[in-house]
Amino acid sequence: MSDQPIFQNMGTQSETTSLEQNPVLDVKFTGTAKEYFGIWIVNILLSIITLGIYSAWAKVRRKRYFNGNTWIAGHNFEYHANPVSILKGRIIVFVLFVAYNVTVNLAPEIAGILALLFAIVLPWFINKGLSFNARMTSYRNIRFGFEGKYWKALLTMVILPFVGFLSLGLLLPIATKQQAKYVYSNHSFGDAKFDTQFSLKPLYKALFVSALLLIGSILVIGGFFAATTGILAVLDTISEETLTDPANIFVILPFIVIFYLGMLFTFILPYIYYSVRSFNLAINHLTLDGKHKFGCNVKVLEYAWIIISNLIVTLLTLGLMAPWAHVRKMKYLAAHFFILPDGSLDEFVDRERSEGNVTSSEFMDLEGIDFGL
Amino acid sequence: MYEIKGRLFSKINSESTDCVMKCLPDGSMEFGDAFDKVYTLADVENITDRLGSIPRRITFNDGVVFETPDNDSIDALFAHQISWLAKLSNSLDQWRKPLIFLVIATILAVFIVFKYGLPVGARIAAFLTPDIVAQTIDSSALETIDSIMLSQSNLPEERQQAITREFEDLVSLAQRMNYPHLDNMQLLFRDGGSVGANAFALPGGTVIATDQFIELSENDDEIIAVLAHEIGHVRHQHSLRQIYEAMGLYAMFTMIGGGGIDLSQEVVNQAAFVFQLNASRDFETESDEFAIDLLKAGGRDPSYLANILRRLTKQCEDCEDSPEWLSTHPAPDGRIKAIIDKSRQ
Repeated sequence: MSDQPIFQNMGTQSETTSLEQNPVLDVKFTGTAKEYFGIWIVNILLSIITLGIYSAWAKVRRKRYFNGNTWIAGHNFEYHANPVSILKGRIIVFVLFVAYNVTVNLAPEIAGILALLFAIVLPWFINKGLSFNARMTSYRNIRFGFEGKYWKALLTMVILPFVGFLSLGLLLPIATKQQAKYVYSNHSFGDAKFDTQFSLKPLYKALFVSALLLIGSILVIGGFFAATTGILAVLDTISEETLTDPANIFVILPFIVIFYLGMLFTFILPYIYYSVRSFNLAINHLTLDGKHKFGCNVKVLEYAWIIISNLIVTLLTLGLMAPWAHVRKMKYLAAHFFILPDGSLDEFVDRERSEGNVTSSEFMDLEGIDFGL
Repeated sequence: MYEIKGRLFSKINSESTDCVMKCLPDGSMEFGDAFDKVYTLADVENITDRLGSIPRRITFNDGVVFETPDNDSIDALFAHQISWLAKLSNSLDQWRKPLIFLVIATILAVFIVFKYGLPVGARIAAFLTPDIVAQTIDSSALETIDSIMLSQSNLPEERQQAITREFEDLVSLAQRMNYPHLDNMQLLFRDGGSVGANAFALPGGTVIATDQFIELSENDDEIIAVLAHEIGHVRHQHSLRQIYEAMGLYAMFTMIGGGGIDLSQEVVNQAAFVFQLNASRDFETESDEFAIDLLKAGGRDPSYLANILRRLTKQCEDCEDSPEWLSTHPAPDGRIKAIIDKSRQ
């Protein structure tokens, strides 16, 4: 038997046995942009060559890479999905997508009915997706799980967000809270249940700051556009012939891009502020088995900087830096996430196996269809 | 005998034990002091694929899992248990030296799909679409445009009939020339309102000409030339192809982009729109060529098409909300010149 830890750089086994002395467990992300680039480019190439079929395998490889490189206390996560189940889900989604487009073209007047129909089936899709994803994820050889009720999903995922929208955001925190409770508290790890409980007050505080940010960025970006109308006036003097010549698309394109980015940046900071605050809140009140606690201290400005610079770098490199951007984001998130365990992490029991199902993969195959992308 | 360092999950809980798996020449595997069971190759239910440097997991048929970061040893010992697809993906992943070739191949593949694959797919889909579908699209599309953009034509009845007769002559000439998809052609007149001078074709064969367009034309030859161009759109099923291309593009982007791109996904989907503009430019050229052939066959001078296009473009410099129309019906010098050149041949 070796003296050195077998799983190097990833924290050692001994961490788990000395929990009492070292009560905070960090999350480490060991993926690298270089390594992921190779996987990502192969994913895209094979997806294109196979006219999209390989994209199901690509998804499994992507998820396995990110799960497999996320370590807590010397153990990593694993993603077990069978690409064929994902392919089935994608074919169903694709058929529905085509059917929807054809129907809307044939009879635009029933688009409203279709939207309603979509709202009715959406909770079912969400529940299926969450439970598939949870079941296919494991840590220390123990699978996660998710069990949600249709009506709860309808309320928290469709009705409450809609009400929040109608109330111009005033009731949004209620929707956020109920959603977080629905998603987190219905998850389990083996036989242990997750739960999160928090009050509405911090969410309203976050909403208030977010509204101030929105007003601020409308003023700043609106002012910027007013200042640049001079440039647009110059564009006006160019004759229509120049404008419509396809050869000049690269002259006009930057203006279109700047306009879109302006729109994007107006909303992105308020949006990131609110979502980061509510994410931190939910995680900081998350418990597992009523005793293990979690923590998250993502900083709004740091995270916003990562998201925005990722976007710009990805666009400037025509997408080639997307793997770098994704790895960078995951590294940041992992570094700001931690666990406060109460006792050993060796005692979780896998539900399927404890019920005598040695391998439940056949069952999973039947049950599991993934609708997410 | 081969030894692989790793750890074993042998219980129903999350506990694991560091151990060494000894692989004997006969294919059996044992774990020494850590676990007393001996497995054979037949007991191996699953070995996860190699991916980057994440640990591999061997799952045995009784649920026991052995986990090891020693990827090379697993590949060497269990070569027969690993699928060809996993081996292919993995050898491409590891293909470090000429990585640039992989990048170029990917960019090339993306280009080929967008430039050729998508249009060909859309063409096939359009060809397979039953006529009744295109006609239903026509009637519902007409209903929508009538209610939001166009209104009753103010053109005198006799004038409408005269133009319609010319249009029908043109269609029957095209049918005699055996051009497909022209069985349900009809010409409608509308007041263009804010749309202004325009003529366009719907997928099923409905061609709409606005009063402003008729007024703008200096003679009937110009009207006929534009109608021939619109018939070209129907003959080539351009509207249907455009619908299918847009759908295919969207599906491709979503499928490939799925995750990993975040915000950029939105921007990428916007780029799909720019691609669409280019596609419709090709369609205009194709229709121009059709119109020139048809007009020549009818003994007419196709250069009238260039004249009216030039005037349409000029006229649009004055109207305010023209960008969308302009982008889909561009009449740059190049296009007009191409029409004149081809007319003279």
